[in-house]
Amino acid sequence: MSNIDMKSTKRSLNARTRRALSAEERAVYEWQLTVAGFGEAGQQSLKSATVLISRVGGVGGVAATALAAAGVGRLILAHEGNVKPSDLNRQTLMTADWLGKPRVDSAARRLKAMNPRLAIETVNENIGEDNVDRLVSSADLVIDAAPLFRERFLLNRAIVEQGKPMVDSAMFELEMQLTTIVPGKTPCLTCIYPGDPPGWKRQFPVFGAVAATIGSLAAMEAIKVLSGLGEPLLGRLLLADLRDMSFRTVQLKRNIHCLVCRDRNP
Amino acid sequence: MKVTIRYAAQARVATGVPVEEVELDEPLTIHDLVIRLARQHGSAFRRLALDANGCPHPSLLVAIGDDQVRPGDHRKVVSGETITIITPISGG
Repeated sequence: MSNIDMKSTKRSLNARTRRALSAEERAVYEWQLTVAGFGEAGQQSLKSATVLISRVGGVGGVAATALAAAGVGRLILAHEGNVKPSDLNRQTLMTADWLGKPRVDSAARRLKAMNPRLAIETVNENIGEDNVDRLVSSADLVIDAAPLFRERFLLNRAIVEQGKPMVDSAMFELEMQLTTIVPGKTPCLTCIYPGDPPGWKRQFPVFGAVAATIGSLAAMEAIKVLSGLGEPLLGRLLLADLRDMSFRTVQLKRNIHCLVCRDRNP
Repeated sequence: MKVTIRYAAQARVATGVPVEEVELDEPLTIHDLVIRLARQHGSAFRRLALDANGCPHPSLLVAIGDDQVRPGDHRKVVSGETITIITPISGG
Protein backbone atom coordinates (compact mmCIF):
# COMPACT_ATOMS: atom_id res chain seq x y z
CA MET A 1 0.00 0.00 0.00
CA SER A 2 1.23 3.49 -0.80
CA ASN A 3 2.49 5.59 2.09
CA ILE A 4 1.39 8.77 0.31
CA ASP A 5 -1.23 10.88 2.10
CA MET A 6 -4.36 9.87 0.19
CA LYS A 7 -6.79 12.08 2.10
CA SER A 8 -5.05 15.34 1.21
CA THR A 9 -4.54 14.13 -2.36
CA LYS A 10 -8.25 13.41 -2.74
CA ARG A 11 -9.20 16.75 -1.20
CA SER A 12 -6.92 18.71 -3.51
CA LEU A 13 -8.08 16.82 -6.60
CA ASN A 14 -11.75 17.31 -5.77
CA ALA A 15 -11.62 21.01 -5.07
CA ARG A 16 -13.22 21.84 -8.44
CA THR A 17 -16.81 23.03 -8.57
CA ARG A 18 -19.07 20.07 -9.32
CA ARG A 19 -21.83 20.34 -11.92
CA ALA A 20 -25.25 18.93 -11.02
CA LEU A 21 -26.63 15.87 -12.86
CA SER A 22 -29.67 15.95 -15.13
CA ALA A 23 -32.43 13.34 -14.95
CA GLU A 24 -31.10 11.84 -18.18
CA GLU A 25 -27.63 11.51 -16.67
CA ARG A 26 -28.98 9.86 -13.54
CA ALA A 27 -30.69 7.31 -15.77
CA VAL A 28 -27.59 6.65 -17.90
CA TYR A 29 -25.24 6.26 -14.96
CA GLU A 30 -27.52 4.45 -12.50
CA TRP A 31 -25.38 1.27 -12.53
CA GLN A 32 -22.26 3.12 -11.35
CA LEU A 33 -24.01 5.65 -9.10
CA THR A 34 -24.52 2.87 -6.57
CA VAL A 35 -20.81 1.97 -6.37
CA ALA A 36 -19.80 2.41 -2.72
CA GLY A 37 -17.72 5.54 -2.24
CA PHE A 38 -18.66 6.99 -5.64
CA GLY A 39 -22.31 8.09 -5.72
CA GLU A 40 -23.73 11.31 -7.10
CA ALA A 41 -20.76 13.37 -5.91
CA GLY A 42 -18.36 11.12 -7.82
CA GLN A 43 -20.49 11.35 -10.96
CA GLN A 44 -20.61 15.13 -10.65
CA SER A 45 -16.81 15.16 -10.38
CA LEU A 46 -16.53 13.22 -13.64
CA LYS A 47 -19.05 15.48 -15.37
CA SER A 48 -17.07 18.54 -14.29
CA ALA A 49 -13.71 17.16 -15.44
CA THR A 50 -11.61 17.60 -18.56
CA VAL A 51 -9.16 14.82 -19.45
CA LEU A 52 -6.35 15.22 -21.99
CA ILE A 53 -5.48 11.95 -23.73
CA SER A 54 -2.16 11.89 -25.51
CA ARG A 55 -2.83 9.64 -28.51
CA VAL A 56 -6.08 7.78 -29.01
CA GLY A 57 -4.55 4.60 -30.41
CA GLY A 58 -4.72 1.16 -28.84
CA VAL A 59 -4.37 2.35 -25.24
CA GLY A 60 -5.70 5.90 -25.36
CA GLY A 61 -8.67 5.00 -27.55
CA VAL A 62 -9.92 2.45 -25.06
CA ALA A 63 -9.27 4.85 -22.19
CA ALA A 64 -11.26 7.52 -24.05
CA THR A 65 -14.13 5.09 -24.64
CA ALA A 66 -14.29 4.12 -20.96
CA LEU A 67 -14.15 7.75 -19.82
CA ALA A 68 -16.82 8.80 -22.32
CA ALA A 69 -19.03 5.95 -21.14
CA ALA A 70 -18.40 6.83 -17.50
CA GLY A 71 -19.57 10.41 -18.01
CA VAL A 72 -16.41 12.52 -18.02
CA GLY A 73 -17.60 15.91 -19.23
CA ARG A 74 -14.87 16.87 -21.70
CA LEU A 75 -12.07 15.05 -23.50
CA ILE A 76 -9.13 16.57 -25.36
CA LEU A 77 -7.84 14.05 -27.90
CA ALA A 78 -4.35 14.73 -29.26
CA HIS A 79 -3.17 12.45 -32.05
CA GLU A 80 -1.65 13.38 -35.38
CA GLY A 81 -2.25 11.61 -38.65
CA ASN A 82 -4.66 9.44 -40.56
CA VAL A 83 -5.94 5.92 -39.94
CA LYS A 84 -3.63 3.22 -41.37
CA PRO A 85 -4.32 -0.49 -41.87
CA SER A 86 -1.75 -1.36 -39.17
CA ASP A 87 -3.79 0.65 -36.62
CA LEU A 88 -6.74 -1.69 -36.86
CA ASN A 89 -5.38 -4.57 -34.74
CA ARG A 90 -5.73 -2.45 -31.59
CA GLN A 91 -7.10 1.07 -32.22
CA THR A 92 -10.75 0.33 -31.58
CA LEU A 93 -11.95 3.89 -32.24
CA MET A 94 -10.71 3.55 -35.83
CA THR A 95 -12.68 1.75 -38.50
CA ALA A 96 -11.85 0.28 -41.90
CA ASP A 97 -14.15 2.77 -43.64
CA TRP A 98 -12.09 5.64 -42.13
CA LEU A 99 -8.71 4.57 -43.61
CA GLY A 100 -6.78 7.61 -44.83
CA LYS A 101 -8.83 10.05 -42.76
CA PRO A 102 -7.83 11.76 -39.47
CA ARG A 103 -7.68 9.50 -36.43
CA VAL A 104 -9.01 12.15 -34.05
CA ASP A 105 -12.11 12.67 -36.23
CA SER A 106 -12.78 8.93 -36.24
CA ALA A 107 -12.39 8.86 -32.46
CA ALA A 108 -14.64 11.87 -31.93
CA ARG A 109 -17.50 10.59 -34.11
CA ARG A 110 -17.56 7.23 -32.34
CA LEU A 111 -17.36 8.71 -28.84
CA LYS A 112 -20.12 11.22 -29.62
CA ALA A 113 -22.32 8.42 -30.97
CA MET A 114 -22.01 6.69 -27.61
CA ASN A 115 -22.27 9.81 -25.45
CA PRO A 116 -23.77 12.89 -27.19
CA ARG A 117 -23.41 14.92 -23.97
CA LEU A 118 -19.62 14.60 -24.15
CA ALA A 119 -17.64 17.71 -25.17
CA ILE A 120 -14.61 16.85 -27.31
CA GLU A 121 -11.68 18.95 -28.48
CA THR A 122 -9.78 17.21 -31.26
CA VAL A 123 -6.15 18.12 -31.86
CA ASN A 124 -4.66 16.63 -35.03
CA GLU A 125 -1.17 16.92 -33.53
CA ASN A 126 0.96 14.85 -31.22
CA ILE A 127 2.25 16.38 -28.01
CA GLY A 128 5.12 18.74 -28.79
CA GLU A 129 6.93 21.78 -27.42
CA ASP A 130 4.44 24.08 -29.15
CA ASN A 131 1.22 22.66 -27.71
CA VAL A 132 2.04 20.82 -24.49
CA ASP A 133 1.65 23.69 -22.04
CA ARG A 134 -1.68 24.86 -23.48
CA LEU A 135 -3.14 21.37 -23.66
CA VAL A 136 -2.11 20.41 -20.14
CA SER A 137 -3.39 23.72 -18.76
CA SER A 138 -6.81 22.98 -20.32
CA ALA A 139 -7.13 19.65 -18.52
CA ASP A 140 -7.75 18.46 -14.97
CA LEU A 141 -5.94 15.17 -15.60
CA VAL A 142 -3.74 13.72 -18.34
CA ILE A 143 -3.57 10.18 -19.68
CA ASP A 144 -0.23 9.45 -21.30
CA ALA A 145 -0.63 6.74 -23.92
CA ALA A 146 2.00 7.93 -26.41
CA PRO A 147 4.54 5.59 -27.98
CA LEU A 148 7.42 8.07 -28.12
CA PHE A 149 9.39 8.94 -25.01
CA ARG A 150 9.94 12.49 -26.30
CA GLU A 151 6.19 13.10 -25.98
CA ARG A 152 6.00 11.33 -22.64
CA PHE A 153 8.80 13.40 -21.12
CA LEU A 154 7.28 16.65 -22.46
CA LEU A 155 3.96 15.77 -20.83
CA ASN A 156 5.74 14.86 -17.61
CA ARG A 157 7.54 18.19 -17.47
CA ALA A 158 4.31 20.12 -18.12
CA ILE A 159 2.23 18.25 -15.52
CA VAL A 160 4.94 18.73 -12.90
CA GLU A 161 5.14 22.47 -13.67
CA GLN A 162 1.35 22.85 -13.61
CA GLY A 163 0.66 20.45 -10.74
CA LYS A 164 -1.71 18.23 -12.76
CA PRO A 165 -2.13 14.48 -12.17
CA MET A 166 -1.14 12.10 -14.95
CA VAL A 167 -1.89 8.43 -15.51
CA ASP A 168 1.06 6.90 -17.33
CA SER A 169 0.30 3.73 -19.27
CA ALA A 170 2.54 1.43 -21.29
CA MET A 171 2.55 -1.99 -22.95
CA PHE A 172 4.84 -4.44 -24.73
CA GLU A 173 3.85 -7.85 -26.11
CA LEU A 174 1.60 -9.16 -23.28
CA GLU A 175 3.09 -6.95 -20.56
CA MET A 176 1.77 -3.71 -19.13
CA GLN A 177 2.95 -0.94 -16.81
CA LEU A 178 0.80 1.69 -15.13
CA THR A 179 1.36 4.39 -12.54
CA THR A 180 -0.34 7.60 -11.47
CA ILE A 181 1.79 10.68 -11.00
CA VAL A 182 0.67 13.48 -8.71
CA PRO A 183 3.30 16.23 -8.70
CA GLY A 184 4.58 17.02 -5.24
CA LYS A 185 3.35 13.69 -3.88
CA THR A 186 4.77 10.95 -6.09
CA PRO A 187 7.86 10.29 -8.18
CA CYS A 188 7.49 11.73 -11.68
CA LEU A 189 8.15 9.87 -14.93
CA THR A 190 11.72 11.18 -15.07
CA CYS A 191 12.34 9.86 -11.54
CA ILE A 192 11.46 6.41 -12.89
CA TYR A 193 13.16 6.71 -16.28
CA PRO A 194 15.65 9.60 -16.37
CA GLY A 195 16.19 9.54 -20.12
CA ASP A 196 15.45 7.94 -23.44
CA PRO A 197 15.74 4.18 -23.08
CA PRO A 198 18.33 2.54 -25.30
CA GLY A 199 17.08 0.68 -28.34
CA TRP A 200 13.45 1.76 -28.08
CA LYS A 201 11.56 1.37 -31.36
CA ARG A 202 8.42 3.25 -32.37
CA GLN A 203 6.75 0.02 -33.47
CA PHE A 204 6.71 -2.88 -31.06
CA PRO A 205 4.88 -6.20 -30.76
CA VAL A 206 1.51 -6.10 -28.98
CA PHE A 207 -2.01 -7.48 -29.12
CA GLY A 208 -5.10 -5.30 -29.22
CA ALA A 209 -6.44 -7.11 -26.16
CA VAL A 210 -3.36 -6.00 -24.20
CA ALA A 211 -3.87 -2.40 -25.33
CA ALA A 212 -7.53 -2.62 -24.34
CA THR A 213 -6.65 -3.99 -20.91
CA ILE A 214 -4.14 -1.29 -20.06
CA GLY A 215 -6.42 1.37 -21.58
CA SER A 216 -9.24 0.26 -19.29
CA LEU A 217 -6.94 0.21 -16.27
CA ALA A 218 -5.74 3.72 -17.13
CA ALA A 219 -9.34 4.93 -17.39
CA MET A 220 -10.15 3.40 -14.01
CA GLU A 221 -7.18 5.20 -12.48
CA ALA A 222 -8.44 8.47 -13.98
CA ILE A 223 -11.94 7.87 -12.60
CA LYS A 224 -10.49 7.12 -9.15
CA VAL A 225 -8.31 10.23 -9.11
CA LEU A 226 -11.07 12.53 -10.39
CA SER A 227 -13.75 11.21 -8.06
CA GLY A 228 -11.67 10.40 -4.98
CA LEU A 229 -12.58 6.72 -5.19
CA GLY A 230 -10.32 3.94 -3.92
CA GLU A 231 -6.53 4.08 -3.90
CA PRO A 232 -4.84 5.09 -7.14
CA LEU A 233 -1.36 3.83 -7.99
CA LEU A 234 0.35 6.78 -6.31
CA GLY A 235 4.05 6.06 -6.03
CA ARG A 236 3.46 2.50 -7.18
CA LEU A 237 4.05 0.92 -10.58
CA LEU A 238 1.72 -1.84 -11.67
CA LEU A 239 3.55 -4.58 -13.55
CA ALA A 240 1.21 -7.01 -15.26
CA ASP A 241 1.94 -9.90 -17.60
CA LEU A 242 -1.02 -11.46 -19.39
CA ARG A 243 1.11 -14.50 -20.32
CA ASP A 244 0.57 -15.85 -16.82
CA MET A 245 -1.99 -13.28 -15.61
CA SER A 246 0.41 -12.00 -12.95
CA PHE A 247 -0.26 -8.58 -11.44
CA ARG A 248 2.07 -6.96 -8.89
CA THR A 249 3.08 -3.47 -7.84
CA VAL A 250 6.54 -2.05 -7.19
CA GLN A 251 6.99 0.78 -4.72
CA LEU A 252 8.67 3.62 -6.61
CA LYS A 253 11.31 5.94 -5.20
CA ARG A 254 11.66 9.65 -5.82
CA ASN A 255 14.96 10.59 -7.39
CA ILE A 256 16.22 13.48 -5.28
CA HIS A 257 18.41 14.49 -8.23
CA CYS A 258 15.53 14.41 -10.75
CA LEU A 259 15.98 17.29 -13.17
CA VAL A 260 12.21 17.74 -13.53
CA CYS A 261 10.72 17.49 -10.04
CA ARG A 262 13.56 17.83 -7.51
CA ASP A 263 12.56 21.42 -6.66
CA ARG A 264 8.84 20.68 -6.49
CA ASN A 265 8.64 17.66 -4.24
CA PRO A 266 8.67 18.10 -0.45
CA MET B 1 24.36 -17.75 -2.46
CA LYS B 2 21.48 -17.83 -4.91
CA VAL B 3 19.27 -15.00 -6.11
CA THR B 4 16.37 -15.05 -8.53
CA ILE B 5 16.39 -12.66 -11.46
CA ARG B 6 13.19 -11.78 -13.29
CA TYR B 7 13.34 -10.00 -16.64
CA ALA B 8 10.46 -7.92 -18.00
CA ALA B 9 9.62 -6.34 -21.37
CA GLN B 10 12.58 -6.00 -23.77
CA ALA B 11 14.93 -7.37 -21.09
CA ARG B 12 13.00 -10.65 -21.21
CA VAL B 13 13.19 -10.72 -25.00
CA ALA B 14 16.91 -9.85 -25.03
CA THR B 15 17.90 -12.48 -22.46
CA GLY B 16 15.46 -15.06 -23.77
CA VAL B 17 14.39 -16.01 -20.26
CA PRO B 18 11.65 -14.61 -18.03
CA VAL B 19 13.31 -15.83 -14.85
CA GLU B 20 16.56 -17.49 -13.80
CA GLU B 21 18.44 -18.41 -10.64
CA VAL B 22 21.94 -17.02 -10.40
CA GLU B 23 24.65 -18.40 -8.12
CA LEU B 24 26.90 -15.71 -6.66
CA ASP B 25 30.26 -16.46 -4.99
CA GLU B 26 29.87 -13.37 -2.85
CA PRO B 27 27.20 -10.73 -2.24
CA LEU B 28 27.18 -8.23 -5.11
CA THR B 29 25.84 -4.70 -5.23
CA ILE B 30 22.98 -4.00 -7.62
CA HIS B 31 25.50 -2.05 -9.72
CA ASP B 32 27.84 -5.04 -9.99
CA LEU B 33 25.01 -7.54 -10.40
CA VAL B 34 23.65 -5.70 -13.46
CA ILE B 35 27.14 -5.66 -15.00
CA ARG B 36 27.59 -9.36 -14.25
CA LEU B 37 24.22 -10.18 -15.88
CA ALA B 38 25.08 -8.03 -18.89
CA ARG B 39 28.29 -10.03 -19.38
CA GLN B 40 26.47 -13.32 -18.90
CA HIS B 41 23.86 -12.60 -21.58
CA GLY B 42 24.33 -11.57 -25.21
CA SER B 43 24.93 -8.24 -26.85
CA ALA B 44 21.20 -7.48 -27.17
CA PHE B 45 20.84 -7.39 -23.39
CA ARG B 46 24.16 -5.60 -22.92
CA ARG B 47 22.90 -2.77 -25.13
CA LEU B 48 19.82 -2.40 -22.92
CA ALA B 49 21.56 -2.81 -19.58
CA LEU B 50 24.80 -0.85 -19.88
CA ASP B 51 25.58 2.71 -20.93
CA ALA B 52 28.52 3.81 -23.10
CA ASN B 53 30.82 3.68 -20.06
CA GLY B 54 29.89 0.10 -19.22
CA CYS B 55 27.85 1.15 -16.17
CA PRO B 56 24.22 0.15 -15.52
CA HIS B 57 21.97 2.24 -17.77
CA PRO B 58 20.07 4.80 -15.64
CA SER B 59 16.83 4.09 -17.49
CA LEU B 60 16.71 0.48 -16.34
CA LEU B 61 14.09 -0.02 -13.66
CA VAL B 62 15.30 -2.44 -11.01
CA ALA B 63 13.34 -3.79 -8.04
CA ILE B 64 14.43 -5.92 -5.13
CA GLY B 65 11.30 -7.71 -4.08
CA ASP B 66 8.62 -5.06 -4.47
CA ASP B 67 10.83 -2.00 -3.94
CA GLN B 68 12.55 0.04 -6.63
CA VAL B 69 16.31 0.50 -6.38
CA ARG B 70 18.53 2.56 -8.65
CA PRO B 71 20.39 0.41 -11.21
CA GLY B 72 23.67 1.89 -9.98
CA ASP B 73 22.78 1.32 -6.32
CA HIS B 74 25.50 -0.01 -4.04
CA ARG B 75 23.07 -1.92 -1.84
CA LYS B 76 24.17 -5.57 -1.75
CA VAL B 77 21.73 -8.30 -2.66
CA VAL B 78 20.99 -10.97 -0.08
CA SER B 79 20.68 -14.71 -0.66
CA GLY B 80 17.13 -15.65 -1.61
CA GLU B 81 16.13 -12.22 -2.88
CA THR B 82 14.29 -11.70 -6.16
CA ILE B 83 15.56 -8.93 -8.38
CA THR B 84 13.40 -7.72 -11.28
CA ILE B 85 14.98 -5.94 -14.23
CA ILE B 86 12.52 -3.91 -16.28
CA THR B 87 13.07 -1.84 -19.39
CA PRO B 88 10.93 1.22 -20.13
CA ILE B 89 7.93 0.65 -22.39
CA SER B 90 5.31 3.01 -23.77
CA GLY B 91 1.87 3.29 -25.30
CA GLY B 92 0.74 3.03 -28.88
